[in-house]
Amino acid sequence: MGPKKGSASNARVTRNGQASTSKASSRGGISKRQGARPLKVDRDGDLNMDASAAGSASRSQPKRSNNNATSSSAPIRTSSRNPRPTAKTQQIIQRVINGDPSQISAHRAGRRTDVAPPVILRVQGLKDSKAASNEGGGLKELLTFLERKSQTVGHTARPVRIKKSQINGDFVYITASKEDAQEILKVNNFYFAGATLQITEVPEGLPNRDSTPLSSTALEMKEQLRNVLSTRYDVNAKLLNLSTLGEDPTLNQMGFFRGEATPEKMFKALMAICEGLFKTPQAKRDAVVSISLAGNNINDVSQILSLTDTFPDIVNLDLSRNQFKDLKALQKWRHRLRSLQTLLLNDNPIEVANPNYKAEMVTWFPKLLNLSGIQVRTPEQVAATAAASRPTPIPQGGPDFRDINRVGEGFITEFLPLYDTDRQNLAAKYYDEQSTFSIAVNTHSPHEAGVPLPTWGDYIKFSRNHMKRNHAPARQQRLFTGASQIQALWNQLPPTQHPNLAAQFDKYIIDCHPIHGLADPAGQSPLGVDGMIMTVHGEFDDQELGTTKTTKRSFSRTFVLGPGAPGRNPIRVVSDMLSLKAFKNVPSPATTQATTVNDQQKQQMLLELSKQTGMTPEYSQFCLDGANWNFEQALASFHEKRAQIPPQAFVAAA
Amino acid sequence: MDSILEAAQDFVDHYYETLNKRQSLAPYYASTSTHLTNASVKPDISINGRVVESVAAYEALLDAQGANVHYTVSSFDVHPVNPNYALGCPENLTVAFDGNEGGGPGWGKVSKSIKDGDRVSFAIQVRSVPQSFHRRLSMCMGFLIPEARSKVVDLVSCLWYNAYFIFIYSGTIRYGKPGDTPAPAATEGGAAVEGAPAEVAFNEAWLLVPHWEALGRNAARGLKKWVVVSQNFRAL
Repeated sequence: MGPKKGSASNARVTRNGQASTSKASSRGGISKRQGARPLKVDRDGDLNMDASAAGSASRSQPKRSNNNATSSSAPIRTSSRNPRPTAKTQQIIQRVINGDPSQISAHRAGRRTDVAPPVILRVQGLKDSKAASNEGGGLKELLTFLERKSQTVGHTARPVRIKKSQINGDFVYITASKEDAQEILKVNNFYFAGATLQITEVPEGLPNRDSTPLSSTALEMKEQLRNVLSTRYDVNAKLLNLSTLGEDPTLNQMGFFRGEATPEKMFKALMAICEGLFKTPQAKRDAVVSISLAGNNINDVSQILSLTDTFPDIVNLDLSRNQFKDLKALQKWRHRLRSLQTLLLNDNPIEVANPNYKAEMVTWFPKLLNLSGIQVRTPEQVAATAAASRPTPIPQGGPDFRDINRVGEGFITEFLPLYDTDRQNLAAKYYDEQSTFSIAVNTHSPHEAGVPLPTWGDYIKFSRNHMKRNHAPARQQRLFTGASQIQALWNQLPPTQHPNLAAQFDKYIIDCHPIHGLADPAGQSPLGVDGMIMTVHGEFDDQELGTTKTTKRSFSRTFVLGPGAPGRNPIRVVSDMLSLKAFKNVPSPATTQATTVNDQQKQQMLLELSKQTGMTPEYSQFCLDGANWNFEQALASFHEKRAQIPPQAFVAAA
Repeated sequence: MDSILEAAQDFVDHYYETLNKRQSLAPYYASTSTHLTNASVKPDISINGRVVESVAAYEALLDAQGANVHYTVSSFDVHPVNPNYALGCPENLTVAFDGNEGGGPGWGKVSKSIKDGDRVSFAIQVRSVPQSFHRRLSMCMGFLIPEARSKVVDLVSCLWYNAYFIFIYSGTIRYGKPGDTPAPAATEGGAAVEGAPAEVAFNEAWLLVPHWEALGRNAARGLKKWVVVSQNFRAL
């Protein structure tokens, strides 16, 4: 496959592609014939360069018309590498193959609007002519004949040009401009390769293509491809052997290697059929582990791109004996085939052209073990890389409780029990006219497995989760400002029971630290006053309103505390934000660390710390013991206390 | 109020995106502002109970987590803390705290600014809680020249430029890529997949203050309007 194998010279693509399709399926596509300028007519009057070359050449490079030299001779099978068609020309080819006349005519109309609509002629007689046995069904010869004869018969100086052609049953439908059609009609009853041509105008336009029995031929084709696949699948090896497709008798018989675009199309079709064979991606993974595409003359993975769509998880891939010559030809798979373990690129030009390709391939495919028969990684290395790339969360530490004069401690020890027993007095004591309170329910938080999700009916109507509430009035309403509003709300919330802070301190994590620049309630200090921010993570049981049903929930509550106004409680709550979620134990730093460190890891840490700090193993152990065998912490505390560490703690410098 | 909501929304939209891409977080913190730094305002960063010395140190911690850590915010809330934050406020954006009668601190200059159409300094100079501000504004508008009046209405949205506010974000952190190797099997509807990315909840409380450099007349483009003075993060 690929452009080189079995494909006709570039200049023939339109007609041959068209003809081979029509032969296989007995229906015609529409060929667009472009590039007709007087300059481009060669000796035969054959101005049909391939659509792609003509399409671009006629617009930008008129001089390329001397390419026609090749097109005047009979189709040549050539093994020389043709330049890859550009995306644009491919698009044009695709359009031609698909026979989408609407796009073509729209395109032309855009350029020449003052021309009479083209005329469609029906030509009968090709089937009976000797040319019908030619490659391509003789269509090309017929068209050339019609153009040449009509020009000479009519003695016209300008070339006669057939824009489109389509084989439909016994007839060939051709499209030409009104003027040219008049000339072509003069060729009626001429002899062409032993048969009389009957040319008539078809006023009603092209016959409806849908009326021809497409589906049966398509089905037949699909069945044939499916057979090809089944003969090439090895159940035991889980191998889909698609090597040397160009020599496959069935595929050759179907005419896939006579056009240029068709091998790619055929491969796409094969992949589409594979896709349909498996119900789930897993079934596909289980059935096909290895694919061989050896010996297919592929020179760029874009020709077989559908492989990675259909088999993204393939493990072994044989691409040997192809024509990959550089990394660019493989570039499109750089971020695909993540599970690839074996890739064979033996006998490809890249081996000589770029001996360094292996290093690159290893970085492209993270699990690649075997490249062209050489081991590039061990499975252990792959596992180690995967483990290393797995993120490690920032370690969980104990409370960060930077209190000022035990104000924070005093506040929270009083707050939690009072919130359970006497919210009215709590609000009266700590909250004033400017204090704010709000609740946000986070219904999407991760929670303990197996625990039923709680209901939020009593809270949700007050919830102020801004990710959910985009309605401004709702946002406003749910901010409760002033002690009286807060008291009123607290009355409507379910009664709660928090664990005793002193007795069950492990059920809480409390962080606090000083902040600056709060508004001075006394109105004295222009730069504001100092306060504190405190975040409490914990749990409580609540009792659903009107029932006795209790639910355990987790909460996070953040307070901004500041000095009270003169004559009021010395501490005021500036802001109180309560966030509720499904119950989950708060993380406990001590236990998670202790359970994960075994003796071997300890030994490794010891060595590493000793190496990084220059301390003796003995002192390294002190340090790690002090940090509860948390390496990061040990290192941090080393840097912190470095000045105080005695000199004998360090290994004597050599 | 809307303005701080917008600020919080803006922060949630940008900060966590920056975090997930592991781009520089420095522009979000008070340490980026010379005015604030000169007034000894310094971000206080507490991560899982550890006090982190600087933004760079926090970024080092984030880097140590490795790639493919993704933060998703599922809930947030915001409160004003101090409508009139003054620490590090530069001269040209502030007025003397003279406590003069009637208009309140700096009020005389405010009305002058309105007449001059000086939008930013107007907003910055407002030194009052919002309720009384509206009262004062209507009082003020009575004697404003007509062309300035429309500006005033326009300016109300700038009201909170010097607010000091707090917000809480909570959400989840996903460790590992969603498409990590064992994950495709999850699409089969099978049982829990071993090695699937772990998700934990987090709660993060932030205090933000005005970024004075971003509020001046010829402020550089692209500066954050608010910067972080306090961050408290906990994975839960």
